[in-house]
Amino acid sequence: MYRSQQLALKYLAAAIVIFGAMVVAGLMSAYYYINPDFLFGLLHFNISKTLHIDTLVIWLLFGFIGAVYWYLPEEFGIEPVGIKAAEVLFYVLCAAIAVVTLVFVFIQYGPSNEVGMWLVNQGRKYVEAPRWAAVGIVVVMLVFAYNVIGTAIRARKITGIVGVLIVDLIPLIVLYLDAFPAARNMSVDLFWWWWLVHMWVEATWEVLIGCIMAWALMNLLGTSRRIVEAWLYIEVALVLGTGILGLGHHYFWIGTPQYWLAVGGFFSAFEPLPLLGMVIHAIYDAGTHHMKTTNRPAFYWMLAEAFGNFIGAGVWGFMMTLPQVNLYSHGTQWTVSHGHFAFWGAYACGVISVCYLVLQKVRGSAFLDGITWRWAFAALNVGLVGMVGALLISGFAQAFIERAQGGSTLEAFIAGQENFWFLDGMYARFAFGLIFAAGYVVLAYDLLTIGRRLPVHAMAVAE
Amino acid sequence: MAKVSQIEDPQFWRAGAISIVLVMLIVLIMLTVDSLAAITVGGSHVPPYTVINQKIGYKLESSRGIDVPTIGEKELLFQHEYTPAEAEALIDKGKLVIQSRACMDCHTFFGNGAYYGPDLTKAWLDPAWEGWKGITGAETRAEAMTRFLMDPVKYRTWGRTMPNLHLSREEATAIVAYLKWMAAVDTNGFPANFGQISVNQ
Amino acid sequence: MKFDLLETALLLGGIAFLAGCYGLLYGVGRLAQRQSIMLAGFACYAFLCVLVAVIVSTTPLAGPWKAIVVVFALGFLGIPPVTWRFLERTHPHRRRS
Ligand code: HEC
Ligand code: HEM
Ligand code: HEM
Ligand SMILES: [Fe+2]
Repeated sequence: MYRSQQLALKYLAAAIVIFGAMVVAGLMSAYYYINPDFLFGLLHFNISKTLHIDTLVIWLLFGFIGAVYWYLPEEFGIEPVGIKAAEVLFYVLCAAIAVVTLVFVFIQYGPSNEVGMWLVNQGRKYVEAPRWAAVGIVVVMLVFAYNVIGTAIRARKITGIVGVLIVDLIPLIVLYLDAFPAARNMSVDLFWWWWLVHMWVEATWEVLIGCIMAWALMNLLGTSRRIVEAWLYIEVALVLGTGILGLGHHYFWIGTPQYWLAVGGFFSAFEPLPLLGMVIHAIYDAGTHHMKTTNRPAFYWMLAEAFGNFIGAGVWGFMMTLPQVNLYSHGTQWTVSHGHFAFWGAYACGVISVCYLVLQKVRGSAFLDGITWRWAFAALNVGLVGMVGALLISGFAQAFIERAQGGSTLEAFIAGQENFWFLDGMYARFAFGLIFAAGYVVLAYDLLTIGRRLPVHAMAVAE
Repeated sequence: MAKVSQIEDPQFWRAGAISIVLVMLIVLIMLTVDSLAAITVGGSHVPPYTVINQKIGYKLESSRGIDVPTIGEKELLFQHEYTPAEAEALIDKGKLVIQSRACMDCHTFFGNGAYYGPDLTKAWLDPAWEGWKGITGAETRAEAMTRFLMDPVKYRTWGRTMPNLHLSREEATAIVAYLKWMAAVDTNGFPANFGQISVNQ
Repeated sequence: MKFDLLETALLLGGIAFLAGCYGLLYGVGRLAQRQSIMLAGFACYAFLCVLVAVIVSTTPLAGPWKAIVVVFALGFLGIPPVTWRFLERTHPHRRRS
């Protein structure tokens, strides 16, 4: 095994651990909605929620980075350059994450000046981490980019997938630089903040996971490189063709000119179309190879990714992306519903799939299957779809009562939050959250043990 | 068959991808330049910070068919007329307070943030402050907001309470100014039907 | 009343969802080479067209948005067969029929 692949294992293991922290923080955040006195005076909703969404970003990034470190040496047939620095940085980064978590939990707020921004909390959604930690993340990403680019140079070879990956890493890192400024003007602040958030999740990350899935497909199904690369280019063209100007669906109400209603509504309305193409592709591959796959869990998680991306991002996104609807759905639990479904479908399932692919190689299993992964798969997906459905009901109630009827005042807000449908949605979300958490535990157990438990038994089950 | 091989050829699709992305990026950059002009302070959608010295409203503009902020006669904040430099310093402080306490991980600004607390886009215009004046024993809306922000637990109204974030008077003042300025930003009609009942008289 | 907001959103979501069903059934039908499954797919698409008609005739969406919904629905009609043909052409050795 290459050293970069050993590093990949560390990144993937850390990703799954941080995923667990995220689930705990998510359950806490959800619990405040049904018991607002929970930990009052000690730790408030904003802190648990910050931990929830920041760990979300971190574990997915860890998953992506791990996947790339795994496939990179196979792509080039040599040990990637600069792995030593990357190994050191992995530990530094983990330590930094632990420190930031402690700071968030125990210090929570800093002074309202630059010192607070550098050392404690920046208070900007998804990029709350203090600037010193953000510097660390930039360094890690730069070294990561160096590993990729340097290896291509040393190998004197560039493949289509690596080419796309390199071109994608540049905007991905540059966009992250928006984690530093504290623009005084909220409209300007949010303008660039959405470049970061939207262009990450609906553009650069889509391309990144596209590259990873291309490797995974060649690996899992033995699809030829030519086909995979042609498909990757088409995906890039369609996803970026609609997604870049789809950015406009976040510029309806933040102070930006009115033409964004037309631009954002138009382009983002077409964002779901390429996602359907990916579903068709998944069905085609599933049908033509189903009997041949040696890694059932990876295969099913990959299918879940295609369907989840379409429904979570495509269907849920399309529901609220036209400005006339978004005027009322904007910034409600409806948004939360979409956010969960889309992140789950588009990224989380893909990272889990990669974990199984890698484990098959590591444990040397000719055949990966069993009962446990099925339970994890079922509980996680049922939990997630249940949460998303509950949030949609709450979101409908909120959009209707608070936004449309009440006109978004404090009184209207309270009326919405105390509405029977809203509250029931919150209870149901918590209940399904527990199912999801149970699924997480099973998943973690399965990842630890699959391929180590009686392979013969696994063979029998697969028949 | 030339056509078939072209469809199979990754180079063909790569050229397509590059051209599409370039076209989209160019359009995006043009729109960005234009938008930044509109949203810089004093641009067509975002008022200068000295707007905090004036009366702010939110009214239906029939030509656009949406609610837009109105900027009226002089209405001082904390009985003080802020110069442009003072106003800018105050707003600057307000933004840093908002970030340092992570308000945005409970509240939304222009609908962006978290959904545990109410949207603050038009918080300055919230009809609730009329009642809060009585509850807090304040003469003005600004004073009532300041007192609420400095000790929200004391003025809790329902099950969910905003925690005490240990804001100094100076910090609370800066937030009030920030919220007043924000209420004067043209948000294309968001939120709709805001406080139809009592905001504008 | 603003109840048409929820109705509109649900109709929009329904369109996208039915498009997904159509794509799924179309693909499975092609794989299994079963006309009946393909027909079920087209039935989903027909139902989708009904929802588009309801959107166009009853919801408060402005004209241009209704036009976009129609174009969107037409786009979905084409995607499954076009993608399928592309996949079959590019996977020459695995062609099934
Ligand atoms: C832990 C979550 C939380 C945090 C953090 C928080 N708030 Fe609140 N805020 C609330 C809740 C809940 C309410 C509703 C309280 C009530 O009705 O008594 C509220 C109410 C308000 C209101 C009254 C809104 C209206 O329209 O009448 C304002 C203004 C406000 N918060 C501003 C802020 C500012 C500024 C910050 C940051 C310094 C902040 N909040 C931080 C939860 C929070
Ligand atoms: C046990 C499971 C989970 C629970 C209980 C949970 C709960 C929550 C809660 C309460 C919030 C705050 C929403 C608000 O501001 O009101 C939140 C936000 C969020 N969560 Fe989760 N979550 C869970 C799992 C996940 C998973 C698996 C993902 C992604 C893969 C995810 C992604 C997000 C995102 C993106 C947000 C921000 C959404 C927004 O503000 O619009 N969560 N979650
Ligand atoms: C990979 C795909 C996607 C992911 C991971 C994703 C995730 C998210 C998240 C987390 C948010 C909440 C952001 C916040 O306020 O913090 C959001 C908002 C939004 N998304 Fe997506 N999304 C995806 C694709 C799409 C698509 C394809 C559409 C449209 C068809 C869409 C439409 C929207 C809209 C309109 C909002 C704004 C919601 C509001 O006004 O509050 N998204 N998305
Ligand atoms: Fe977006």
